[in-house]
Amino acid sequence: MRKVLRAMAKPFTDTTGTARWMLVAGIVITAIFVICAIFAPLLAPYGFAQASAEGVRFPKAGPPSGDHLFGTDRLFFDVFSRTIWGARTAIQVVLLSILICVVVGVPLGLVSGYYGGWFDRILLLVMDALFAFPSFLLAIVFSFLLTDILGGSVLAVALSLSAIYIPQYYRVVRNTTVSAKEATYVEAARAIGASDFVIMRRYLFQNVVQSVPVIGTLNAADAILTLAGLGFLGLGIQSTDAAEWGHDLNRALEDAGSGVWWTGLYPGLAIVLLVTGLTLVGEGLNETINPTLRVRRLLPVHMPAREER
Amino acid sequence: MAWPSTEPIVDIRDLSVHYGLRGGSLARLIGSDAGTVKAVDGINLTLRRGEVVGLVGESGSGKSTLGRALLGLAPATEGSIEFEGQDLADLSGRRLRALRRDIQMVFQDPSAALNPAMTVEEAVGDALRVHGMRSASERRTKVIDALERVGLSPVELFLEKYPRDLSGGQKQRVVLARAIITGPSVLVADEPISMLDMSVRAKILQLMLDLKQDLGLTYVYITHDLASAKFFCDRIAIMYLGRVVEIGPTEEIFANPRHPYTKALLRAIPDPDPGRQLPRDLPRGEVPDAASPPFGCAFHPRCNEATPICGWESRDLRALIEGHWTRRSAEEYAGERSIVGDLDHLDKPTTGATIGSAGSAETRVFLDRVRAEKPDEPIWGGIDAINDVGSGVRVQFREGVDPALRRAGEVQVACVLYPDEPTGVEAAESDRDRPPPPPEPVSAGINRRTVGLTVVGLIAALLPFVAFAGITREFVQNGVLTSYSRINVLGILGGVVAFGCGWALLTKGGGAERAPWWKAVGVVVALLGVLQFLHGSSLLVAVSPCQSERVDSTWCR
Ligand SMILES: Nc1ncnc2c1ncn2[C@@H]1O[C@H](COP(=O)(O)OP(=O)(O)OP(=O)(O)O)[C@@H](O)[C@H]1O
Ligand code: SF4
Ligand SMILES: [Mg+2]
Repeated sequence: MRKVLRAMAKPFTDTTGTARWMLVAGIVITAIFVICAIFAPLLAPYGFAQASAEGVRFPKAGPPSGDHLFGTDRLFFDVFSRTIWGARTAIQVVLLSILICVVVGVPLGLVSGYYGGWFDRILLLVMDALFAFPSFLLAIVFSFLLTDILGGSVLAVALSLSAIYIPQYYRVVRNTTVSAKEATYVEAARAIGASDFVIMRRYLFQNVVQSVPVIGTLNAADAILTLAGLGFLGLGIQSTDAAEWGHDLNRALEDAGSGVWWTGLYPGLAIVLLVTGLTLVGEGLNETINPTLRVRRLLPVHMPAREER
Repeated sequence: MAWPSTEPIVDIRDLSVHYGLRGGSLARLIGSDAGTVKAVDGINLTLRRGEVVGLVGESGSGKSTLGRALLGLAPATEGSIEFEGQDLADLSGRRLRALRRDIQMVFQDPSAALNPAMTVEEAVGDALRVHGMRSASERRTKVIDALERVGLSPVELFLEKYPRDLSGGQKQRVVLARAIITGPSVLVADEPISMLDMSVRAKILQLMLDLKQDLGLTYVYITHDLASAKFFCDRIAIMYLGRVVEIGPTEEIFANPRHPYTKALLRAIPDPDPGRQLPRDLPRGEVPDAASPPFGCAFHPRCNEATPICGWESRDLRALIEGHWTRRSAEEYAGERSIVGDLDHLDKPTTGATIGSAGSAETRVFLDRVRAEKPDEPIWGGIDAINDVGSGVRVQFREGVDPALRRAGEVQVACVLYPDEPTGVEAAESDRDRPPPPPEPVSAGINRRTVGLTVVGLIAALLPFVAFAGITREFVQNGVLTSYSRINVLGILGGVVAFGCGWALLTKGGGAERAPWWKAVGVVVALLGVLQFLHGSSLLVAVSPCQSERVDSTWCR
């Protein structure tokens, strides 16, 4: 238990100054959104697709008031509630897509880096091609294809986001595997009679997934933007299926001209804040895990005063 | 120390491990190799149960490769390694892994040899786990026992530690514990103490001796430090560029070194007694490039007892001339340089070296001057003739002798200074240890894998055609095509498999000999695979219109 705690605290204890503050600020911001996501039903006064309460219809595009903290939009929905429910959608999509990325990208990278050969070369080619492709375009194509099959669900969007991030996980894990497999401890594992599978699972895995959390958080920020972008284009999740910031922004576009600012401001702010928070976490983690960036904490050395004789 | 028995436990016969230098895939296709490094080149060695054999030599002499080959970690290009009567080369991957219970290894750098993400208990226990011991508590008992044996106590203190929490000596003890826990009979120790602090070296060596005593181990001790070998080994094999150049009982090697390389190594041992200032020199020069070793005796460029028949060649001439120039003034150098011209072409080893650009006579005069400076260099004796060619001369060297390992007194030496002296019982013994049996015929290079790949590749490439024939017949009889999609899949899959087999044949087929014949087979199979793949995927294209309404539906039912 203490070991786990210490491992979790490592990013803090290992960083100094800016890096530490970046990490702390990022974690606080992200935590707020995560809390919103988890407790959305309790925190939000209304449902995300609720247009009336106790038989009374909400005002159409009503300005912020006591009943509706952030006002209402043209579909009579409460903006405050939708912003909070939006956090839930965003976190769901991002977590799911990271999960898919890790489950697909890490083993692929491990196997491809470990065995090398033509399998590695072909996979590398495919992944590099995917990576070189404009990622937003790729996301659009995939969400087109997937919403046909799966409908505008969270899963469909998460899958299309995964498709653009898997190459990064693959690349990082593959490259670390290629260098790690030359290590003596891998040869030593072979010398005690370990099979390839055992070597990959028990010897390489833990040593090559080190940078995955960093990619994960950095990609999470990117994924929020891509998700919002997809929603803004009207792809992906529909208003009545779930609250999604990008989609709300799209609808707010028409309001902006008529002086209705509240429908656009709050979802927009939410996106900016969450992206900032996740980026800060990612950069902070990067600083601790990536040794080329790390500045070690220097503890001043105190020499005992020389004793007078 | 118990006197080693005479029962052989490991028998190495004519072992060679060659590494191909990486050329491009095109070069491999054409068959032009970028060259090979003969890391181990025809070694014969018998380990007797209970003895300690030292492998000593400078960096790059192939010690580690030989040690790794004993565990099947470095693939033998030629020759065999028999462990208790089993040939390692015959074993499948699974059987080979099982065998590693019996032959274990200790590494030079204990920090690198332990997985940083495993605790001591996991690391040592994993040797049992990979051999099928599932119960964690059983493993724990054994791990504790092994750690106690290597002197890590109190054991409880170490079980949960990570390698980074341990000192170098402690880590090496953990590595030793991991090596002995499976109950091996042979332990290959690759420079086990060279990365350790002076203060713990002796302790680790003593521990290894104790373990040998208690567990009845046989050691292969790899080192470049003759002093520790003297303390530790029963027999010592001196290695140079992939060969054993001298092998014999430790006392005899030290008391009476025969091979010039052994003598040089012995002179290089630091003398702890400052009163006796012996000349301490490593053999002169560098270890040559293993990818193109010197002609004749590989040690001759550095040997200070070399004879005219030791294999002189163009590179030696270059070294000689450049050595001469280091002792000239700048003007002299400029003058002589303009006579001989460029020497770079001498790097391509040959016994006929052409030099000179300002006329034959001048070049001869120059050579005479070089000779006058160092008349005793054996290279002069190794020159057969100097003939005029064009504006220079052609120096013709005599064909060198590559000395085989031969008996000399109590040891065996590979040096022309020690011609064969077989007598009585020793002759029989030395016969056993002498190299070369006639080279194996090329067909021996065709192994099971090659045949398997060919068969699978051909089936994969041809099966879809066969299936296609059946469907064609169906079409002819009924006028309806039914199973396009199945052929697509079959064709594409078959194509990929066949191409893979072909490629593997091309790059790895033909066993050790890499006969060109198998490259041809590989090309054919791979091409068939590509054809099949194209066929399958073109059908896919051809069929897709069927999914649309436009096409006549009789074609696509
Ligand atoms: N995997 C490999 N691929 C290509 N060449 C190799 C490989 N392993 C070893 N060699 C080459 O084989 C030769 C012998 O290497 P080896 O490691 O056996 O030497 P060594 O005697 O153990 O040297 P050291 O004292 O430095 O450990 C060297 O020239 C090395 O470059
Ligand atoms: S054969 Fe003997 S004398 Fe000749 S170079 Fe080799 S070691 Fe020296
Ligand atoms: Mg070595």
